[in-house]
Amino acid sequence: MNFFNQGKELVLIHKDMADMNIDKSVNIMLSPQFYTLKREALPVKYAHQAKKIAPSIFEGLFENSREYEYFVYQEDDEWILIAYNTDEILEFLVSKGLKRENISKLYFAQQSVSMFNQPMSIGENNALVSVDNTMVVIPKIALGDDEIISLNFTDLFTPKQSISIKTTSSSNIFSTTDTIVFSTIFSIFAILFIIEGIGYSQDNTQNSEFNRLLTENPSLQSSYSRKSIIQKYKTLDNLERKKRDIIKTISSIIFKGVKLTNLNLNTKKIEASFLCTNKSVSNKLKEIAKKKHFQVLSITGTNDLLIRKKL
Amino acid sequence: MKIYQNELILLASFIFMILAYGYKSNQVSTQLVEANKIKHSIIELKEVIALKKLWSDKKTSLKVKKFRNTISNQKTKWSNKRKKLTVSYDNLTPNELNKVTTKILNIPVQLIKLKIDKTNKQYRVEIKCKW
Repeated sequence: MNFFNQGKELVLIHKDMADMNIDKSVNIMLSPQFYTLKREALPVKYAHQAKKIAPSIFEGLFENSREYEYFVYQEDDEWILIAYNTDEILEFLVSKGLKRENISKLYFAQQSVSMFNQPMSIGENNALVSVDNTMVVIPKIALGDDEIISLNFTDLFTPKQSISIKTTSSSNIFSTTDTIVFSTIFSIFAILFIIEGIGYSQDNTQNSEFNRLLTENPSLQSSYSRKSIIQKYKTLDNLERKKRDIIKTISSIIFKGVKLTNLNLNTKKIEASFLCTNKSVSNKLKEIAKKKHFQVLSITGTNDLLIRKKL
Repeated sequence: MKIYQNELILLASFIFMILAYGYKSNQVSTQLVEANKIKHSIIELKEVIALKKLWSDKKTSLKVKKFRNTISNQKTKWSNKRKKLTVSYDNLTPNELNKVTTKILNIPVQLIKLKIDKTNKQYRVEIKCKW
């Protein structure tokens, strides 16, 4: 069953036909005037094999057999081989007013031979007749008047097999095969990109860790409270570490001849007083304290020093 | 239109591929930005948690209690109320002074006051802290 052809009108084409005024896509059935038929018993099994040897069977019949294409199908023990010239057919159809883009499928009258059970008038002088199971066009005068009837040509004459118009004319850049191959490749890539994109959008490994931390610490769920808490603890941490570091530094600068007499730490500063045994010890301590970025004050009249650092 | 159907099919499939690529690229960059944001938030969270654990440790009170035993009661004046400690020591030897300062500096408390005065060969120490 061909769903794509459903509802499309089937038009019988013959040489004496009047101009057409069709503005929709139609299927075309060609009278024998547009093709050459041979019936042969060939020692082949498949249609593609029969199609391969078709040119040799028609050899000598046409001036230039290269311009012909072939349609084959099996009927009982014989092969029906049809040679046709697409350009010639298209040229005729266009000359009769049918736009090329409105031509959907091509069929041969021979394919529906069983439907032509009576002669059918085509044009003023000719009739389409089935003779020995082969469709032929004969002059009406060869038939009796009572034999010619106005056969109702309907879509029921549409055969199962069809041929598509090849798109290898100058207006087409890509052939059907190229189109299928490239569009398949593009579509596969597109699907891969989409799958990859979906994969990225669903990657929430870090999200789960973040959510776990928030679940464990509900008080930190708001980013504002988080920032305020971090600010509070960072300030506290820095200040307390600084206090401890300064105290450790003070204890590290005590050497022989130096004694700590007083240390005072409050929220604003740290001060420490040292008793030095002589001037050189005092100078050495002063030097070390300055290196450690302390403010150094000498106590007048003594070797003692007071060092200070703001918090 | 029909005579260009191959080109149209190719164009449509090509545009489909480009759009899909755009979607993927967009997802990658969005994910990257989002991942960086979350990474930053995780680091921030872990930092807060670590700091909170250090400076609001429930075991600090216990550590302060243990600190009381550092020096004998005769030399100690101790006052511990509502997470605030005021302690003073009299007549500490240099060793005892080192012991007291080292211990208090290793407890995560906020030092409000630390006063050390030397009289003769002994030290007087006053500490105020909270946690």
